[in-house]
Amino acid sequence: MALVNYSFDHRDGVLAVLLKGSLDASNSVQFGTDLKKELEKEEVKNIAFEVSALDNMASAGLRVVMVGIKHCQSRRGKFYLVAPSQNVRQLMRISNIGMFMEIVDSMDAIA
Amino acid sequence: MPRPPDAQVLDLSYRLDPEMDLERRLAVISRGNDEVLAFLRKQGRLDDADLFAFNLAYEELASNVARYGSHSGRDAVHLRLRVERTASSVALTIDDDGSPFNPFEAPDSAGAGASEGGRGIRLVRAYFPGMRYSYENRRNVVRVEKVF
Repeated sequence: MALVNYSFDHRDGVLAVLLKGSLDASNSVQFGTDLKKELEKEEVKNIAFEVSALDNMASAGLRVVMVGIKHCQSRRGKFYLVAPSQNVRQLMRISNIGMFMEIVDSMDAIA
Repeated sequence: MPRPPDAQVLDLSYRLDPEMDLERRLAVISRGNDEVLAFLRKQGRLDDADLFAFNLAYEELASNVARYGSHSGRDAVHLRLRVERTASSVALTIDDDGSPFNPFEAPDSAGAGASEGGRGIRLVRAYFPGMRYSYENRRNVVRVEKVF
């Protein structure tokens, strides 16, 4: 099974999610479940996926990204994608999901 | 599958038993990701973007078989994978003996409301516009290729 590691950190209304490895069909369901649990713990308006160490991603991973985007949209918040590789950035563009997020170079860029 | 004389070839096969739940099926086909990437890295000439695209193609096509490939739940589905590296191209072919399933007939969905299966095939076609599907000898055959 492809490996993905992730951790959650709540910072001033932003849920920061640090993702490493490969997010594919075999592990994205568990990641999505854990993300939803995290969103239930406290009020979250904005979400930031830090993906500088995310090597591979496919449509199953995009589905979880959409969970985050919809959560933020329903609260008039923002979804950030932080430090994506060129490959991940291109995937967001090709899938038309990039238009629903703000792509930034580092967590420091999130106000 | 016939092997071109000058080709470096990786052949893998997986058996998806009817009693397996989806999670187990996906775990089985996920094993192929690492082997495909390791093989392609050894062949050279492919950059990070190519490796990302082939990884995505394998992931989408094989997980489609894991999700939808079936014989009405009676028998195992056999998935075969071949990666072929010749002097002029790299090709990934996935075939299975499940019920006929033409990925080109999956809804061409896009954007926030897209279904996962439709989005996955659309992504593969975006990276590999020449993606081909055929039904041969009672097997679904999907092939993507990068020509140098």
